[in-house]
Amino acid sequence: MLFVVLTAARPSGRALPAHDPDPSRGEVFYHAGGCISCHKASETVGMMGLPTGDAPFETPVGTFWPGNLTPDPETGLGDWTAEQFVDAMTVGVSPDRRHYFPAFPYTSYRIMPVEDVLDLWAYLQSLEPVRSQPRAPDIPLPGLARRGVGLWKRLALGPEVFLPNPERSETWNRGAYLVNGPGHCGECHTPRNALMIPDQSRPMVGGPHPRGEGAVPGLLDMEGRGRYSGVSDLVLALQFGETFGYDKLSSGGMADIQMNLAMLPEDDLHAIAEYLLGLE
Amino acid sequence: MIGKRTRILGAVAATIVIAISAGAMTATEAIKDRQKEMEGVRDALMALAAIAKKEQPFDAKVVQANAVRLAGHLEKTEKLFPEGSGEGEAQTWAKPEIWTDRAQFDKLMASSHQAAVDLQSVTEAEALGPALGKLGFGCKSCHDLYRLPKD
Repeated sequence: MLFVVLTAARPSGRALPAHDPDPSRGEVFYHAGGCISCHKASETVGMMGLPTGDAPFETPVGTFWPGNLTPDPETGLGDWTAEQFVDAMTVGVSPDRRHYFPAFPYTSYRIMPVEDVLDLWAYLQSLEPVRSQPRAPDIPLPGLARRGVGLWKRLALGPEVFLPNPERSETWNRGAYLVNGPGHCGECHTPRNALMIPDQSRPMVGGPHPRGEGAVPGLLDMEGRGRYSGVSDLVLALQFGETFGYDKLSSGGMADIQMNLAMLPEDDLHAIAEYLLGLE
Repeated sequence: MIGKRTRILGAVAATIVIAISAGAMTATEAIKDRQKEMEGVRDALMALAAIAKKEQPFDAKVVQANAVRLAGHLEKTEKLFPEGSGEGEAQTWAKPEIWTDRAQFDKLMASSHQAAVDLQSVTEAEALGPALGKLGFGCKSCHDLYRLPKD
């Protein structure tokens, strides 16, 4: 009984603020999060096309099928309400009251202010609706595992909304927000403990790759270690990656991430670079 | 009959000898050699990137020379992933999928090489960025699929 109570997936019931959503701001979060890289249309199209989630997402736990983010009413988000989308993004609960597996990084997205989530929602709703093939994840005991996620969330979910550091510049704060919120960099660059919870005492130090092969580089002191000569160098690296010979940005899924980041406005890339190079 | 069998055995033995001598390089040698070739690719690419970043003036001759170097190193690299060179006495980040997914790997290598050949005919500054982009996309796709991430 206690297990059932502790692991139940409840909507947050939170009331949404009055907000006039701006899909163009939402598009920035879409690219910062690299949504298309997991929710892609097929295994071969890469970043091209719409986020219909028709390609498998392999993890050491099993295979997940990311959802269709286009506004198709049956297989996508067409029939969702804004409240349901905000709950999915910030508490990891689906409209049919199930826990999402944290392969969907709501653990990071939850620090996004509701207004930003609504902007992203407006952008997704502006996409062309496409029907997809809904599929269940291929993992052991999915029902029990989903309940387990409920317990896990009680331990793993961190602070609720990003709080800017008043001692730092606006640019640094924008970078911190994009990196830790929509960008969800820490999902791979921060090592996880035995419970698969990101170890916040060692943020961005790198560690084993979550797909179980190779290592994720640490992001601390990248300037001191000679990885990048400064903010403008890192901005170019994020914009062009291997095209300009920055070969640290191309393995383990980073090539896609870099190509998504290349779509961001230059100011935002500067902010990200300034924040990242300040990590010690 | 015996003669025929001997001849077949002889042919098989000869094939093996040829295969071994053609692939005389050891896994360790292949690993080290391809890493060296890749360093050559990177050096040529960095020279081209400096021009694309406008750190260096555009000079069609410099672009062509580096594109030729780059294509040459890539062509050699393609031949340095023989069967069994997934492990050796030198550290390698090559993923086993190179050999289980060989056709796709070869296709990506060939298209990257083609992009390097196409770079050789760039004569105007505006064309350099897109041509490099095409090459860079080849580098990224291949490294994402077939190279282990490392710190």
